[in-house]
Amino acid sequence: MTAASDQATQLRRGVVEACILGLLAGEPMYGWQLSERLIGDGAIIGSIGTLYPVLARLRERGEVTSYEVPSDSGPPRRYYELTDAGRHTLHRFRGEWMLFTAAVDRYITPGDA
Amino acid sequence: MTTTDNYLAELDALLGGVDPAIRNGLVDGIREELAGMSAADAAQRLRELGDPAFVAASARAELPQPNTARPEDPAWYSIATVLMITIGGYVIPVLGWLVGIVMLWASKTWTVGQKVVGTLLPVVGVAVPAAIFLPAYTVSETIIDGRTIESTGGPMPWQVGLAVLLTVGAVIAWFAGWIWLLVAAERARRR
Repeated sequence: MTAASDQATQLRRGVVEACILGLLAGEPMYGWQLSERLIGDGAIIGSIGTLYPVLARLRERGEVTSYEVPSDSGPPRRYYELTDAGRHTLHRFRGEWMLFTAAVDRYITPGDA
Repeated sequence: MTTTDNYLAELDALLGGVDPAIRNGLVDGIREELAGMSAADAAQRLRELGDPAFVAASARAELPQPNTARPEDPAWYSIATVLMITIGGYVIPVLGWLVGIVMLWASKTWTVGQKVVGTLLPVVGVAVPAAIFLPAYTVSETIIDGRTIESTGGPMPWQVGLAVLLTVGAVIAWFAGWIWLLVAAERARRR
């Protein structure tokens, strides 16, 4: 792994939980749906395999819960939705993220340092 | 078995040992998406997912890494062990020493070599008083009616010298050994 890709991996790892909380704040979503969004929009995760351990952590912390919706075409779909604790975590993260990105921007933007 | 079944079976096998909540969540999450699709569409989706080994490796990379650091004894345990074998062996003869030896070998911090040295050190401790009285063994006395009639032998100067040398050596080795073991334990804890 190159230094640049390692750096990107570390950055993504730090925000993947918040991104999932952010997506679920809009609407409950099922695993595949979440995975497509996270892979497609800016490659927050590299594979659906990454998603489920993160979802398991969020569920353990009570920030996300899940429920099954019966399907006509096969097995029921499992949907994930935000809990109040998850909404609170997301709200706190938004505040920290804005301060964090503003500070990093100041350091790395040419001529602004 | 269909391509989807094969893929999911392989992925499930590759996730052996992973928390069932994660393992089943991932496998079922893919299964529910592909259910009802034509074989061609499902195969296309599976190609987009990538090799099962890649998906499984991604899941494992996200799991908390097991702590590979060797657990170490707390400082009090190392000190208590050394005290048990040294002073404990004299306060409660034999038993104190045995407890110390058991604590020594149950230690997670000392290496096998250090434990062997620690086990042998009390022997050095016993050798100290033995060495002190060594010159006395060379004296033979003839006692009649409680009076010493004849006293022969007695330590030769070299025997006295040897006794002093052994005693000093044993005391130094004894103390140095225990300090060395305590320092080794402290270094292991700081690593």
